[in-house]
Amino acid sequence: MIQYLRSLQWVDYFLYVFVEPGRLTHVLQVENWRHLFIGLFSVVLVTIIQIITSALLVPQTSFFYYSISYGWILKIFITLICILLYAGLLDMLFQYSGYEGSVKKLVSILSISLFPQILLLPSVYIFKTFNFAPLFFNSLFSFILGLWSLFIAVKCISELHKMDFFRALVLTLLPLFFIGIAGFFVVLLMVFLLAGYLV
Amino acid sequence: MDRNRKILIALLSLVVLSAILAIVDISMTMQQKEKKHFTLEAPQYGPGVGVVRIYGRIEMASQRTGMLGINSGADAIVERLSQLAKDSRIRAIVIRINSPGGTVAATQEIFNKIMEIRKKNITVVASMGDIAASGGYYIASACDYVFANYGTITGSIGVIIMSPDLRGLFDKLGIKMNVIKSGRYKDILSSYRQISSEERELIQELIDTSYEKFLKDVSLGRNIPISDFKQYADGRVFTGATAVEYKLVDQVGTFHDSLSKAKELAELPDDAAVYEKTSSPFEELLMTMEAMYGGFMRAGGLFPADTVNNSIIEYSYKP
Repeated sequence: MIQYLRSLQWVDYFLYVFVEPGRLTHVLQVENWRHLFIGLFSVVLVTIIQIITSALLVPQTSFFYYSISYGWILKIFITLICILLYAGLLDMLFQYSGYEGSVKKLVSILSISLFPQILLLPSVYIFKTFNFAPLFFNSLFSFILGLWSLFIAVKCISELHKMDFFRALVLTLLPLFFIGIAGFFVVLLMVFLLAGYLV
Repeated sequence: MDRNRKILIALLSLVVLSAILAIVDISMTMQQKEKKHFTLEAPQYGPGVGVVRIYGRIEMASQRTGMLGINSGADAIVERLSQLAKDSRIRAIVIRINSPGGTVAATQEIFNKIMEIRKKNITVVASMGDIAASGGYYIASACDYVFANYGTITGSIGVIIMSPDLRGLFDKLGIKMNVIKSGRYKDILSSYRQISSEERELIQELIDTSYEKFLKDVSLGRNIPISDFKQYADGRVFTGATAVEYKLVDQVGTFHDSLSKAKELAELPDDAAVYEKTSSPFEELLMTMEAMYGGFMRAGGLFPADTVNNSIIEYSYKP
Protein backbone atom coordinates (compact mmCIF):
# COMPACT_ATOMS: atom_id res chain seq x y z
CA MET A 1 0.00 0.00 0.00
CA ILE A 2 2.74 2.46 1.03
CA GLN A 3 4.73 1.42 -2.00
CA TYR A 4 1.73 2.10 -4.21
CA LEU A 5 1.27 5.56 -2.69
CA ARG A 6 4.97 6.33 -3.14
CA SER A 7 4.89 5.23 -6.77
CA LEU A 8 2.43 8.07 -7.47
CA GLN A 9 0.49 5.75 -9.79
CA TRP A 10 -2.74 6.80 -8.07
CA VAL A 11 -2.14 10.35 -9.33
CA ASP A 12 -2.71 9.07 -12.88
CA TYR A 13 -6.44 8.71 -12.29
CA PHE A 14 -6.74 12.42 -11.52
CA LEU A 15 -4.28 13.34 -14.22
CA TYR A 16 -6.45 11.65 -16.82
CA VAL A 17 -9.47 13.51 -15.45
CA PHE A 18 -7.81 16.80 -16.37
CA VAL A 19 -5.77 15.80 -19.40
CA GLU A 20 -7.43 12.89 -21.15
CA PRO A 21 -10.80 11.75 -19.72
CA GLY A 22 -11.24 9.07 -22.39
CA ARG A 23 -8.11 7.28 -21.20
CA LEU A 24 -9.51 6.99 -17.70
CA THR A 25 -11.96 4.42 -19.05
CA HIS A 26 -9.12 2.25 -20.30
CA VAL A 27 -7.56 2.27 -16.83
CA LEU A 28 -10.93 1.42 -15.28
CA GLN A 29 -11.41 -1.48 -17.70
CA VAL A 30 -8.96 -3.49 -15.60
CA GLU A 31 -10.83 -5.00 -12.63
CA ASN A 32 -9.20 -3.56 -9.54
CA TRP A 33 -10.49 -2.68 -6.05
CA ARG A 34 -8.31 0.44 -6.14
CA HIS A 35 -10.73 2.17 -8.54
CA LEU A 36 -13.41 2.24 -5.87
CA PHE A 37 -11.01 3.61 -3.25
CA ILE A 38 -9.80 6.29 -5.62
CA GLY A 39 -13.47 7.15 -6.30
CA LEU A 40 -14.18 7.32 -2.57
CA PHE A 41 -11.14 9.56 -2.04
CA SER A 42 -12.43 11.88 -4.77
CA VAL A 43 -15.89 12.07 -3.16
CA VAL A 44 -14.41 12.75 0.32
CA LEU A 45 -12.14 15.50 -0.98
CA VAL A 46 -14.88 17.19 -3.01
CA THR A 47 -17.33 17.02 -0.09
CA ILE A 48 -14.90 18.66 2.35
CA ILE A 49 -14.05 21.34 -0.21
CA GLN A 50 -17.78 22.06 -0.79
CA ILE A 51 -18.46 22.34 2.97
CA ILE A 52 -15.54 24.74 3.48
CA THR A 53 -16.54 26.83 0.46
CA SER A 54 -20.15 27.19 1.59
CA ALA A 55 -18.98 28.00 5.17
CA LEU A 56 -16.84 30.81 3.74
CA LEU A 57 -19.81 32.38 2.00
CA VAL A 58 -22.48 32.25 4.74
CA PRO A 59 -22.44 34.07 8.15
CA GLN A 60 -19.82 32.22 10.17
CA THR A 61 -21.18 30.60 13.31
CA SER A 62 -20.05 27.71 15.49
CA PHE A 63 -22.26 25.48 13.34
CA PHE A 64 -19.19 25.24 11.08
CA TYR A 65 -17.52 22.96 13.65
CA TYR A 66 -20.47 20.55 13.44
CA SER A 67 -20.53 20.61 9.65
CA ILE A 68 -16.77 20.03 9.39
CA SER A 69 -16.67 17.32 12.08
CA TYR A 70 -19.93 15.40 11.53
CA GLY A 71 -21.61 17.07 8.54
CA TRP A 72 -19.05 15.88 6.01
CA ILE A 73 -19.68 12.23 6.97
CA LEU A 74 -23.41 12.73 6.35
CA LYS A 75 -22.73 14.58 3.09
CA ILE A 76 -20.39 11.81 1.89
CA PHE A 77 -23.06 9.20 2.64
CA ILE A 78 -25.66 11.21 0.76
CA THR A 79 -23.32 11.76 -2.21
CA LEU A 80 -22.33 8.07 -2.29
CA ILE A 81 -25.97 6.94 -2.13
CA CYS A 82 -26.82 9.35 -4.96
CA ILE A 83 -23.89 8.02 -7.03
CA LEU A 84 -24.90 4.39 -6.36
CA LEU A 85 -28.53 5.05 -7.27
CA TYR A 86 -27.63 7.00 -10.38
CA ALA A 87 -25.12 4.35 -11.46
CA GLY A 88 -27.83 1.71 -10.93
CA LEU A 89 -30.31 3.67 -13.03
CA LEU A 90 -27.74 4.25 -15.77
CA ASP A 91 -26.81 0.58 -15.77
CA MET A 92 -30.47 -0.42 -16.16
CA LEU A 93 -30.86 2.05 -18.99
CA PHE A 94 -27.74 0.85 -20.79
CA GLN A 95 -28.74 -2.79 -20.46
CA TYR A 96 -32.20 -1.90 -21.77
CA SER A 97 -30.54 -0.14 -24.72
CA GLY A 98 -28.49 -3.24 -25.48
CA TYR A 99 -25.18 -2.33 -23.88
CA GLU A 100 -23.14 -4.26 -21.37
CA GLY A 101 -23.92 -3.79 -17.65
CA SER A 102 -21.11 -2.44 -15.44
CA VAL A 103 -22.28 -0.81 -12.19
CA LYS A 104 -18.82 -0.96 -10.55
CA LYS A 105 -17.22 0.91 -13.43
CA LEU A 106 -20.04 3.45 -13.56
CA VAL A 107 -19.68 4.12 -9.81
CA SER A 108 -15.93 4.70 -10.27
CA ILE A 109 -16.50 6.94 -13.29
CA LEU A 110 -19.17 9.07 -11.58
CA SER A 111 -17.07 9.40 -8.38
CA ILE A 112 -13.82 10.29 -10.12
CA SER A 113 -15.56 12.66 -12.53
CA LEU A 114 -16.43 14.88 -9.52
CA PHE A 115 -12.74 15.55 -8.97
CA PRO A 116 -12.45 18.89 -10.88
CA GLN A 117 -14.81 20.38 -8.29
CA ILE A 118 -11.88 20.63 -5.85
CA LEU A 119 -10.94 23.75 -7.80
CA LEU A 120 -14.05 25.48 -6.44
CA LEU A 121 -12.42 26.54 -3.17
CA PRO A 122 -9.26 28.21 -4.52
CA SER A 123 -11.23 30.02 -7.22
CA VAL A 124 -13.99 31.27 -4.90
CA TYR A 125 -11.54 32.10 -2.11
CA ILE A 126 -9.86 34.75 -4.27
CA PHE A 127 -13.18 36.55 -4.81
CA LYS A 128 -14.11 36.14 -1.16
CA THR A 129 -10.79 37.69 -0.05
CA PHE A 130 -11.39 40.75 -2.22
CA ASN A 131 -15.12 40.62 -1.41
CA PHE A 132 -15.94 40.89 -5.10
CA ALA A 133 -19.35 39.22 -5.65
CA PRO A 134 -18.24 35.90 -4.07
CA LEU A 135 -21.75 34.41 -4.18
CA PHE A 136 -22.09 35.10 -7.88
CA PHE A 137 -18.69 33.60 -8.65
CA ASN A 138 -19.48 30.61 -6.42
CA SER A 139 -22.59 29.94 -8.52
CA LEU A 140 -20.70 30.53 -11.74
CA PHE A 141 -17.77 28.25 -10.86
CA SER A 142 -20.09 25.58 -9.45
CA PHE A 143 -21.97 25.60 -12.76
CA ILE A 144 -18.80 25.48 -14.88
CA LEU A 145 -17.19 22.74 -12.77
CA GLY A 146 -20.48 20.81 -12.77
CA LEU A 147 -20.49 20.92 -16.58
CA TRP A 148 -16.86 19.80 -16.59
CA SER A 149 -17.71 16.83 -14.35
CA LEU A 150 -20.61 15.96 -16.64
CA PHE A 151 -18.34 16.16 -19.67
CA ILE A 152 -15.80 13.81 -18.05
CA ALA A 153 -18.51 11.32 -17.03
CA VAL A 154 -20.10 11.34 -20.50
CA LYS A 155 -16.74 11.06 -22.24
CA CYS A 156 -15.81 8.05 -20.06
CA ILE A 157 -19.22 6.41 -20.59
CA SER A 158 -19.02 6.91 -24.36
CA GLU A 159 -15.58 5.23 -24.33
CA LEU A 160 -16.82 2.47 -22.03
CA HIS A 161 -19.71 1.51 -24.28
CA LYS A 162 -18.06 2.55 -27.53
CA MET A 163 -20.85 4.92 -28.45
CA ASP A 164 -21.22 8.40 -29.87
CA PHE A 165 -20.60 11.26 -27.36
CA PHE A 166 -24.05 12.84 -27.87
CA ARG A 167 -25.81 9.51 -27.56
CA ALA A 168 -23.91 8.96 -24.31
CA LEU A 169 -24.90 12.46 -23.18
CA VAL A 170 -28.60 11.83 -23.84
CA LEU A 171 -28.53 8.44 -22.12
CA THR A 172 -26.62 9.85 -19.11
CA LEU A 173 -29.08 12.72 -18.68
CA LEU A 174 -32.19 10.61 -19.21
CA PRO A 175 -32.44 9.29 -15.59
CA LEU A 176 -31.95 12.88 -14.38
CA PHE A 177 -34.88 13.94 -16.54
CA PHE A 178 -37.12 11.23 -15.09
CA ILE A 179 -35.95 12.02 -11.53
CA GLY A 180 -36.79 15.68 -12.23
CA ILE A 181 -40.31 14.80 -13.37
CA ALA A 182 -40.85 12.47 -10.39
CA GLY A 183 -39.44 15.12 -8.02
CA PHE A 184 -41.77 17.76 -9.47
CA PHE A 185 -44.83 15.58 -8.84
CA VAL A 186 -43.64 14.69 -5.34
CA VAL A 187 -43.23 18.41 -4.52
CA LEU A 188 -46.64 19.13 -6.06
CA LEU A 189 -48.26 16.42 -3.92
CA MET A 190 -46.52 17.75 -0.81
CA VAL A 191 -47.83 21.27 -1.54
CA PHE A 192 -51.39 19.94 -1.94
CA LEU A 193 -51.01 17.92 1.25
CA LEU A 194 -49.73 20.91 3.23
CA ALA A 195 -52.44 23.20 1.81
CA GLY A 196 -55.09 20.60 2.68
CA TYR A 197 -53.73 20.29 6.23
CA LEU A 198 -53.68 24.05 6.76
CA VAL A 199 -57.16 24.66 5.29
CA MET B 1 4.56 11.58 -17.22
CA ASP B 2 6.44 11.98 -13.98
CA ARG B 3 6.48 15.73 -14.49
CA ASN B 4 2.73 15.79 -15.00
CA ARG B 5 2.24 13.75 -11.83
CA LYS B 6 4.32 16.29 -9.90
CA ILE B 7 2.26 19.15 -11.32
CA LEU B 8 -0.91 17.44 -10.19
CA ILE B 9 0.55 16.80 -6.72
CA ALA B 10 1.37 20.53 -6.56
CA LEU B 11 -2.20 21.33 -7.55
CA LEU B 12 -3.55 19.03 -4.84
CA SER B 13 -1.20 20.64 -2.31
CA LEU B 14 -2.51 24.05 -3.34
CA VAL B 15 -6.09 22.90 -2.76
CA VAL B 16 -5.22 21.40 0.65
CA LEU B 17 -3.38 24.60 1.59
CA SER B 18 -6.33 26.77 0.58
CA ALA B 19 -8.62 24.47 2.61
CA ILE B 20 -6.42 24.87 5.71
CA LEU B 21 -6.28 28.65 5.18
CA ALA B 22 -10.07 28.78 4.82
CA ILE B 23 -10.60 26.79 8.04
CA VAL B 24 -8.22 29.12 9.94
CA ASP B 25 -9.95 32.15 8.39
CA ILE B 26 -13.43 30.91 9.40
CA SER B 27 -12.28 30.05 12.96
CA MET B 28 -10.64 33.45 13.43
CA THR B 29 -13.73 35.29 12.17
CA MET B 30 -15.85 33.29 14.60
CA GLN B 31 -13.54 34.03 17.54
CA GLN B 32 -13.61 37.76 16.77
CA LYS B 33 -17.41 37.66 16.72
CA GLU B 34 -17.50 35.75 20.02
CA LYS B 35 -15.16 38.29 21.68
CA LYS B 36 -17.53 41.12 20.71
CA HIS B 37 -20.43 39.04 21.96
CA PHE B 38 -18.81 38.56 25.38
CA THR B 39 -18.03 42.24 25.84
CA LEU B 40 -21.68 43.15 25.31
CA GLU B 41 -23.43 40.36 27.11
CA ALA B 42 -23.00 38.51 30.34
CA PRO B 43 -22.13 34.77 30.40
CA GLN B 44 -25.14 32.54 29.95
CA TYR B 45 -24.76 30.19 32.93
CA GLY B 46 -25.29 30.23 36.69
CA PRO B 47 -27.83 32.24 38.71
CA GLY B 48 -29.27 35.13 36.80
CA VAL B 49 -32.17 37.22 35.59
CA GLY B 50 -34.90 35.98 33.25
CA VAL B 51 -36.50 38.34 30.75
CA VAL B 52 -40.13 38.25 29.69
CA ARG B 53 -41.38 40.54 26.94
CA ILE B 54 -44.98 41.71 26.73
CA TYR B 55 -45.46 43.52 23.45
CA GLY B 56 -48.71 44.63 21.81
CA ARG B 57 -52.28 43.95 22.89
CA ILE B 58 -52.74 41.65 25.85
CA GLU B 59 -55.33 39.02 25.07
CA MET B 60 -55.96 35.32 25.07
CA ALA B 61 -55.26 33.57 21.80
CA SER B 62 -58.31 32.32 19.90
CA GLN B 63 -57.13 28.75 20.46
CA ARG B 64 -54.75 27.08 22.95
CA THR B 65 -52.02 26.60 20.41
CA GLY B 66 -51.85 28.03 16.94
CA MET B 67 -52.30 26.05 13.75
CA LEU B 68 -48.59 25.42 13.67
CA GLY B 69 -48.52 24.28 17.32
CA ILE B 70 -47.09 27.43 18.86
CA ASN B 71 -48.56 28.96 22.01
CA SER B 72 -49.43 32.63 21.71
CA GLY B 73 -51.19 35.44 23.59
CA ALA B 74 -51.43 35.70 27.39
CA ASP B 75 -51.08 31.93 27.74
CA ALA B 76 -47.60 32.07 26.24
CA ILE B 77 -46.60 34.85 28.67
CA VAL B 78 -47.96 32.93 31.70
CA GLU B 79 -46.19 29.80 30.46
CA ARG B 80 -42.89 31.68 30.09
CA LEU B 81 -43.29 33.11 33.62
CA SER B 82 -44.01 29.62 35.00
CA GLN B 83 -40.93 28.20 33.25
CA LEU B 84 -38.73 30.92 34.72
CA ALA B 85 -40.22 30.45 38.21
CA LYS B 86 -39.42 26.72 38.04
CA ASP B 87 -35.87 27.34 36.82
CA SER B 88 -33.49 27.11 39.80
CA ARG B 89 -31.05 29.55 38.15
CA ILE B 90 -33.58 32.37 38.03
CA ARG B 91 -33.34 34.73 41.00
CA ALA B 92 -35.07 37.72 39.40
CA ILE B 93 -37.32 38.44 36.44
CA VAL B 94 -37.47 41.60 34.36
CA ILE B 95 -40.72 42.14 32.52
CA ARG B 96 -40.34 44.43 29.54
CA ILE B 97 -43.74 45.97 28.77
CA ASN B 98 -44.66 47.81 25.60
CA SER B 99 -48.41 47.47 25.51
CA PRO B 100 -51.53 49.66 25.50
CA GLY B 101 -53.35 47.00 27.56
CA GLY B 102 -55.91 44.45 26.54
CA THR B 103 -58.68 42.23 27.78
CA VAL B 104 -59.51 42.04 31.49
CA ALA B 105 -59.13 38.30 32.02
CA ALA B 106 -55.84 38.02 30.13
CA THR B 107 -54.38 40.95 32.07
CA GLN B 108 -55.53 39.51 35.40
CA GLU B 109 -54.03 36.10 34.60
CA ILE B 110 -50.61 37.66 34.05
CA PHE B 111 -51.03 39.89 37.14
CA ASN B 112 -51.89 36.90 39.33
CA LYS B 113 -48.97 34.89 37.97
CA ILE B 114 -46.52 37.70 38.83
CA MET B 115 -47.96 37.96 42.36
CA GLU B 116 -47.55 34.19 42.73
CA ILE B 117 -43.90 34.43 41.61
CA ARG B 118 -43.22 37.24 44.09
CA LYS B 119 -44.40 34.94 46.89
CA LYS B 120 -41.62 32.51 45.89
CA ASN B 121 -39.05 35.22 46.75
CA ILE B 122 -38.18 35.86 43.12
CA THR B 123 -37.72 39.57 42.50
CA VAL B 124 -39.82 40.91 39.64
CA VAL B 125 -38.93 44.24 38.03
CA ALA B 126 -40.98 45.97 35.33
CA SER B 127 -39.44 48.03 32.56
CA MET B 128 -41.80 50.14 30.48
CA GLY B 129 -41.08 50.87 26.82
CA ASP B 130 -42.96 53.35 24.61
CA ILE B 131 -46.27 52.61 26.27
CA ALA B 132 -47.47 50.70 29.31
CA ALA B 133 -50.96 52.04 29.76
CA SER B 134 -54.09 50.55 31.30
CA GLY B 135 -53.63 46.75 31.25
CA GLY B 136 -49.93 47.36 30.57
CA TYR B 137 -49.71 49.38 33.77
CA TYR B 138 -51.91 46.83 35.60
CA ILE B 139 -49.23 44.19 34.93
CA ALA B 140 -46.37 46.54 35.84
CA SER B 141 -48.04 47.33 39.17
CA ALA B 142 -47.69 43.67 40.20
CA CYS B 143 -43.88 43.95 40.12
CA ASP B 144 -41.58 44.69 43.08
CA TYR B 145 -40.02 47.63 41.30
CA VAL B 146 -41.22 49.60 38.28
CA PHE B 147 -39.07 51.49 35.78
CA ALA B 148 -40.38 53.80 33.09
CA ASN B 149 -38.58 55.88 30.53
CA TYR B 150 -38.96 59.63 30.85
CA GLY B 151 -41.39 59.75 27.93
CA THR B 152 -43.20 56.45 28.43
CA ILE B 153 -46.97 56.78 28.09
CA THR B 154 -48.48 55.16 31.13
CA GLY B 155 -51.50 55.44 33.41
CA SER B 156 -54.89 55.19 31.72
CA ILE B 157 -56.14 53.38 34.81
CA GLY B 158 -59.69 52.47 33.94
CA VAL B 159 -61.98 50.10 32.14
CA ILE B 160 -63.69 50.57 28.82
CA ILE B 161 -66.24 48.82 26.69
CA MET B 162 -67.35 50.13 23.34
CA SER B 163 -70.00 49.20 20.86
CA PRO B 164 -70.75 51.04 17.63
CA ASP B 165 -74.30 52.23 16.93
CA LEU B 166 -74.81 51.24 13.30
CA ARG B 167 -78.56 51.75 13.06
CA GLY B 168 -78.20 54.62 10.57
CA LEU B 169 -75.97 52.53 8.34
CA PHE B 170 -78.27 49.50 8.61
CA ASP B 171 -81.27 51.65 7.66
CA LYS B 172 -79.39 53.11 4.72
CA LEU B 173 -78.45 49.67 3.46
CA GLY B 174 -81.86 48.18 4.24
CA ILE B 175 -80.46 45.58 6.61
CA LYS B 176 -82.80 44.20 9.25
CA MET B 177 -81.78 41.71 11.93
CA ASN B 178 -83.93 38.73 12.92
CA VAL B 179 -83.22 38.11 16.58
CA ILE B 180 -84.59 35.20 18.60
CA LYS B 181 -83.19 35.33 22.13
CA SER B 182 -83.59 33.46 25.37
CA GLY B 183 -83.46 36.56 27.58
CA ARG B 184 -83.89 40.27 27.15
CA TYR B 185 -80.21 41.05 27.69
CA LYS B 186 -78.84 38.36 25.37
CA ASP B 187 -78.10 40.88 22.60
CA ILE B 188 -76.80 43.55 24.91
CA LEU B 189 -74.46 46.01 23.17
CA SER B 190 -75.71 45.00 19.75
CA SER B 191 -74.86 47.50 17.08
CA TYR B 192 -78.26 47.29 15.36
CA ARG B 193 -80.29 48.82 18.19
CA GLN B 194 -80.00 51.53 20.81
CA ILE B 195 -78.81 50.57 24.27
CA SER B 196 -81.55 50.83 26.92
CA SER B 197 -81.06 52.59 30.26
CA GLU B 198 -81.34 49.25 32.12
CA GLU B 199 -78.67 47.74 29.92
CA ARG B 200 -76.48 50.79 30.41
CA GLU B 201 -76.79 50.33 34.18
CA LEU B 202 -75.87 46.65 33.90
CA ILE B 203 -72.80 47.39 31.82
CA GLN B 204 -71.84 50.29 34.08
CA GLU B 205 -71.96 47.91 37.05
CA LEU B 206 -69.69 45.52 35.19
CA ILE B 207 -67.29 48.33 34.39
CA ASP B 208 -67.32 49.60 37.98
CA THR B 209 -66.61 46.14 39.38
CA SER B 210 -63.67 45.69 37.03
CA TYR B 211 -62.45 49.20 37.84
CA GLU B 212 -62.61 48.52 41.59
CA LYS B 213 -60.63 45.33 41.02
CA PHE B 214 -58.07 47.32 39.01
CA LEU B 215 -57.64 49.81 41.87
CA LYS B 216 -57.42 47.07 44.49
CA ASP B 217 -54.83 45.15 42.51
CA VAL B 218 -52.71 48.25 41.88
CA SER B 219 -52.91 49.03 45.59
CA LEU B 220 -51.92 45.44 46.43
CA GLY B 221 -49.10 45.29 43.91
CA ARG B 222 -47.66 48.72 44.71
CA ASN B 223 -48.40 48.42 48.42
CA ILE B 224 -50.00 51.87 48.60
CA PRO B 225 -53.52 52.83 49.69
CA ILE B 226 -56.09 53.46 46.94
CA SER B 227 -56.66 56.98 48.21
CA ASP B 228 -53.05 57.89 47.24
CA PHE B 229 -53.60 57.42 43.53
CA LYS B 230 -57.37 57.37 42.96
CA GLN B 231 -57.41 61.01 41.87
CA TYR B 232 -55.14 60.05 38.93
CA ALA B 233 -57.01 56.86 38.15
CA ASP B 234 -59.61 58.53 35.93
CA GLY B 235 -58.31 57.18 32.65
CA ARG B 236 -55.79 59.95 32.13
CA VAL B 237 -52.40 59.16 30.64
CA PHE B 238 -49.13 60.64 31.82
CA THR B 239 -45.42 60.36 31.13
CA GLY B 240 -43.05 58.13 33.03
CA ALA B 241 -41.61 61.14 34.87
CA THR B 242 -45.08 62.24 36.05
CA ALA B 243 -45.89 58.66 37.08
CA VAL B 244 -42.86 58.76 39.41
CA GLU B 245 -44.28 61.94 40.99
CA TYR B 246 -47.66 60.19 41.44
CA LYS B 247 -45.82 57.21 43.02
CA LEU B 248 -47.22 54.89 40.37
CA VAL B 249 -43.70 54.18 39.08
CA ASP B 250 -40.56 53.86 41.24
CA GLN B 251 -37.88 55.27 39.01
CA VAL B 252 -37.14 56.71 35.60
CA GLY B 253 -34.72 54.38 33.82
CA THR B 254 -33.96 52.21 30.84
CA PHE B 255 -34.23 48.47 30.29
CA HIS B 256 -30.57 48.09 31.29
CA ASP B 257 -31.25 50.00 34.50
CA SER B 258 -34.05 47.56 35.28
CA LEU B 259 -31.67 44.62 34.71
CA SER B 260 -29.14 46.18 37.09
CA LYS B 261 -31.84 46.84 39.68
CA ALA B 262 -33.12 43.26 39.40
CA LYS B 263 -29.58 41.96 40.03
CA GLU B 264 -29.18 44.34 42.95
CA LEU B 265 -32.49 43.33 44.55
CA ALA B 266 -31.76 39.63 44.02
CA GLU B 267 -28.23 40.10 45.39
CA LEU B 268 -26.65 38.91 42.18
CA PRO B 269 -23.27 40.10 40.88
CA ASP B 270 -23.23 42.70 38.10
CA ASP B 271 -22.06 40.16 35.53
CA ALA B 272 -24.82 37.62 36.35
CA ALA B 273 -26.42 35.91 33.37
CA VAL B 274 -29.44 37.35 31.59
CA TYR B 275 -31.72 34.68 30.16
CA GLU B 276 -33.69 35.90 27.18
CA LYS B 277 -36.06 33.55 25.42
CA THR B 278 -34.24 32.48 22.31
CA SER B 279 -36.16 31.06 19.40
CA SER B 280 -34.59 28.92 16.76
CA PRO B 281 -34.76 30.32 13.21
CA PHE B 282 -37.26 27.55 12.40
CA GLU B 283 -39.51 28.60 15.32
CA GLU B 284 -39.24 32.24 14.20
CA LEU B 285 -40.32 31.17 10.71
CA LEU B 286 -43.28 29.21 12.09
CA MET B 287 -44.32 32.17 14.28
CA THR B 288 -44.15 34.53 11.30
CA MET B 289 -46.24 32.10 9.23
CA GLU B 290 -48.65 31.73 12.13
CA ALA B 291 -49.07 35.51 12.41
CA MET B 292 -49.51 35.91 8.65
CA TYR B 293 -51.90 32.99 8.34
CA GLY B 294 -53.92 34.03 11.42
CA GLY B 295 -54.26 37.54 10.00
CA PHE B 296 -55.39 36.16 6.66
CA MET B 297 -57.99 33.89 8.28
CA ARG B 298 -59.46 36.76 10.31
CA ALA B 299 -59.35 39.21 7.42
CA GLY B 300 -61.05 36.70 5.15
CA GLY B 301 -63.80 36.09 7.69
CA LEU B 302 -63.01 32.40 7.84
CA PHE B 303 -63.40 32.36 11.60
CA PRO B 304 -66.91 32.70 13.01
CA ALA B 305 -67.64 36.29 14.04
CA ASP B 306 -67.92 35.50 17.75
CA THR B 307 -64.31 34.37 17.96
CA VAL B 308 -63.16 37.87 17.10
CA ASN B 309 -62.96 40.07 20.19
CA ASN B 310 -65.82 42.41 19.46
CA SER B 311 -67.37 44.68 22.11
CA ILE B 312 -65.25 43.09 24.80
CA ILE B 313 -64.54 44.65 28.20
CA GLU B 314 -61.00 45.95 28.27
CA TYR B 315 -58.26 47.50 30.36
CA SER B 316 -56.94 49.30 27.38
CA TYR B 317 -55.76 52.72 26.31
CA LYS B 318 -57.59 53.92 23.22
CA PRO B 319 -56.26 57.27 21.98
